[in-house]
Amino acid sequence: MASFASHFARALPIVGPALCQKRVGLLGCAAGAEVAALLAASGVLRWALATGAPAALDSPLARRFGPAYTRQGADTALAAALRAHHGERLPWAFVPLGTVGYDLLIAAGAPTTIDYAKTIAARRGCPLVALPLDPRLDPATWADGFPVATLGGPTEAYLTPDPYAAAAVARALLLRGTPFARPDIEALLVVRGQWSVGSGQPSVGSGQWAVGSGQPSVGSGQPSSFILHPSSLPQPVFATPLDAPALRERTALVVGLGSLGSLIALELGRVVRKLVVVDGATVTDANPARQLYRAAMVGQPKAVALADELRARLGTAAPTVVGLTTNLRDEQQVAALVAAEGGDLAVLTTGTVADFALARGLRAAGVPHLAARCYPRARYWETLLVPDGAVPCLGCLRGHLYAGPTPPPTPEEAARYAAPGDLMGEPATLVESGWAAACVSLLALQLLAPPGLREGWMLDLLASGRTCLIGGAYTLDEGHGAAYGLTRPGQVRAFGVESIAGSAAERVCADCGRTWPVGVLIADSRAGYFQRLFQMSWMVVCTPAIVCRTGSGERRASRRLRASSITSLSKWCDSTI
Amino acid sequence: MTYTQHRYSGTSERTWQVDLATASSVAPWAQRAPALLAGEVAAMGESFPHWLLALGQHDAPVACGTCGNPVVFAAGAARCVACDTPADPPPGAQLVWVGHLPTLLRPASALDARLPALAAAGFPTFTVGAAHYLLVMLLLAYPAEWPHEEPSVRYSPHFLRLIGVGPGPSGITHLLSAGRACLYAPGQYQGTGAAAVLQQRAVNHLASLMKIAGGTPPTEAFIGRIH
Repeated sequence: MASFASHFARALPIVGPALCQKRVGLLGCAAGAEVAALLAASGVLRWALATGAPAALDSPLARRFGPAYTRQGADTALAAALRAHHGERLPWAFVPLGTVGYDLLIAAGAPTTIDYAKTIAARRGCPLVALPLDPRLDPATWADGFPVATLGGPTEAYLTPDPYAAAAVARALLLRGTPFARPDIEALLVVRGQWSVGSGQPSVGSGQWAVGSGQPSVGSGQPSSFILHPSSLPQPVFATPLDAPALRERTALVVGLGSLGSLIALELGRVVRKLVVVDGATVTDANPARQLYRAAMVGQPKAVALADELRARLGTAAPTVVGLTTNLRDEQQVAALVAAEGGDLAVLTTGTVADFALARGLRAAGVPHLAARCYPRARYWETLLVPDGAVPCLGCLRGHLYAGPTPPPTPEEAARYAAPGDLMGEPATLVESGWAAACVSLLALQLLAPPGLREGWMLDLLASGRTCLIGGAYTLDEGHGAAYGLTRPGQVRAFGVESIAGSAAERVCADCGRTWPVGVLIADSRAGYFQRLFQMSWMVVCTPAIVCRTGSGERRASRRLRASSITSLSKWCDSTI
Repeated sequence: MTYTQHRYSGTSERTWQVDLATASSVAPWAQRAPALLAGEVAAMGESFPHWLLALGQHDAPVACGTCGNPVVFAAGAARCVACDTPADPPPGAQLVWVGHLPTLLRPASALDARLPALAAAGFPTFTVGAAHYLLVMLLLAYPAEWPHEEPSVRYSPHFLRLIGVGPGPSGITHLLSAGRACLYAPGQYQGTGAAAVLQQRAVNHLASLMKIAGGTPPTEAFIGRIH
């Protein structure tokens, strides 16, 4: 069984040790289970829970942890679910709300619950984060696009329909004034509008993703617009495709079962007939804090553990789950997998360069797919959509787009100072990677739906050709503009072939062979100078005994240095034998 | 593209066409997109005409089993650049470029004392006008998933030792393991070709290392963000 340090090894670099000393009150355990799960995964282990009736089957508590947690009071069930997931050995402390003080109050549920919470928070003098059961809120009251409104009243109180935003705000409030504070989120808490429970008339928001242009602006880094109204996450606006019988006949593949893949598998598992989950790794101590595996599963193969966990969480609604304990690496393996299991959609979340080979295999097999990954610390995520062969493939876009300024390196990147490579064991918390997984799940479900059932924003996105999405849980600006043009946490931008960067007029895709015009030219004004210098030096010295004719005329070389030059080449070879 | 090679034991020249088909056979990315490799060879021939496209493994040139020289692609086979002996591509073979970059030598620097040893090891100097330059051997290796992954640019291990800079990894000298230059921040590389990588990144990196070797503090030698 993992220790506190090993269990939260990925979270501690981001939130520090102080969070486990904080106590959070929760009013509305069934409705607020998602926020509680997100905070617990960051190390909040001391809870004051309001007593509640057993949760309904469609409550966030049951959706998150499974139908087994509807048989007892919601507070008892939530405590049991958190203990079961993260392990009994952690220093949990669950007490009834009202018996002790707490640093923050979270209220989730009906307006009457939130009204009551305002009274309690005012009496206690602690901040309040409220999550209404009805997610409809007027985006005009949000904080500059971030889905948080000030909740009127005598105490510091915020209201949001999004559990990820609620968890981010709650954690920012708990960490305020510490080295782990989130100034970008705190800045959004000085909001324009106010939302008053009871007296207000919340209007129905768009409920959709408003897709903004990803047209890059070299140097300025200014986004042309934003994309995401997070009130659409994770489920309210998705009723139509979820209920479509056509989805019940689908088979989905998920390759890579980490902090993205394992959570996406849960969302896909709610709607498909068959789910094939693939990963050759085993569950490690730090995985349960961000992934779907329970602490008791440490040491088990991920694919097997996930299949078991999906059956437990989805109960009788669980699809046929096939767990394959293998690491797919090449096109031939993909072809064999698709031939054996079928596939209407594949989700690639390996976090490795193997994504390219797997995408090539899926493209050859005609399987719609998307490839998603988080950037270091899950500050940002990226998803490439490839619903068919007409749109750019993964190789056309991934790594070849100019998306605006890049963020500063994470402390781990700076300290590690290693070659860029696969993202393994990177610090992050569920607040960020879980939000990324929720977004990618929404995209995956849209791709899984027949085109006629896809929502307008997805149809617009595909029609625009902007099939690379980058979302940010952070706002980072080193003075050159916000990284990726994302000026607020929770934004997503879409990019297409017009953002392809290169040093020539065209770029040939190494995977599909298509040629794309380069939209953002990477040029160096010094190149001409260096080129002249190289040729000058070549004329004078001529390097290692190898002389080249470029077509512009043969140049004779001085021979005095040839012996030493070729000696240099030979010595390099000698050193590597 | 035509390459001319002088055997250092004699005066005869050898000329060969870079055999793109043979070169492609060792790099899956080139097999999938032959035009990419052709473009790379053309661009390198234009900007770095003295560099060799060679057979590599583990980010190092494969040495001829007979004479220890690099193996190039010519006349339907991978063969030694010096003795013409054919070589079989090893497991995990890759395409690499090997060649020299000129870098400016500052007058009266701490590096002066090291120049004789550098010259003896195969790092010669030359003069253009009043400026003195050192030729530094580098290697650029394409990874298996190029251009999705960044090519690695490495210094000859002898060179780093001779100028008194540790082989890394170190954020001070922007060197990764085994003499690999850190040329891009994470996520910054966008698939540019070998010539652009050398022109836009490697040249500057080398110049900064030379400043360090000449006595400039590392924090001043590299312009821009210090990790």
